[in-house]
Amino acid sequence: MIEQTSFLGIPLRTQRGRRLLVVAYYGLLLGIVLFALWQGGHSWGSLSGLTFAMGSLLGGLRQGGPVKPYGKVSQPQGVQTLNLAGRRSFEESVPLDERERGRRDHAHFTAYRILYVTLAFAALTYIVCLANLPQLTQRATPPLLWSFFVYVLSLPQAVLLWTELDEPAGELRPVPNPRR
Amino acid sequence: MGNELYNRIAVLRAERSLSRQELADAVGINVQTVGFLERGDYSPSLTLALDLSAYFGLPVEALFSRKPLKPLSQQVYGAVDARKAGKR
Repeated sequence: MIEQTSFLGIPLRTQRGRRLLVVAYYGLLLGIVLFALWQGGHSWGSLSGLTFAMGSLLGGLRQGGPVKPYGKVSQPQGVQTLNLAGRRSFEESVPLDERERGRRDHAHFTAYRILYVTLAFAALTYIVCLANLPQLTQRATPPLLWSFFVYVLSLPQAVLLWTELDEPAGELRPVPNPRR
Repeated sequence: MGNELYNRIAVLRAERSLSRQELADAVGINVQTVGFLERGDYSPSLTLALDLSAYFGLPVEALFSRKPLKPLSQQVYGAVDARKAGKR
């Protein structure tokens, strides 16, 4: 499920490391939103370029992030790609097996449950606070909606990174087989 | 009864000198999944359980059980009372 051994310098072998990545990622997202709010006057154009880059940073949607892509992976032969993320756990990307598909489906279900609570909270905040302040609403809408798009795109991957258990360590030593 | 499913995959794999990767390749799963199966953190689908039992050439109940499995030696040779064995 987790393809990279480290991502942006954060080791991903342990659950603690993976959770640190999730916290760092949402910290970065919050930082961008606060910066956009502080700067003001941000148009959709300046933010929309960042949407897919931020939304797919954790992987899942395409190859390159720490989470395995959900769809079938097809990599053209003979094309050298630049890997900024770090060393991969395996040389080749293999499709999800039944455990991983189950984990992915459960992560999407959990993300959906988190999202409807977030959406309810956002709607309530808008009705109570922002609707009465049209000037602030005009200024705050693009960064807030943008962050919500990124949040929607990244949440299933973040749930997976947060909940994935550590890989079992230590193999049983195979008994020497005289027939082999 | 809880959802626990006990298995003997680790023992059978070691007995047959297989690495996790070899077993994973043989039954078409990822190597981490073999580790999670062995640790009991993942209960396989019926298809995978049947594939594993076919691969090891054993009935599915020899690999998986809802109750804790006895050691193979005990199951094969029966429960030996240590005190009786000592008297002989």
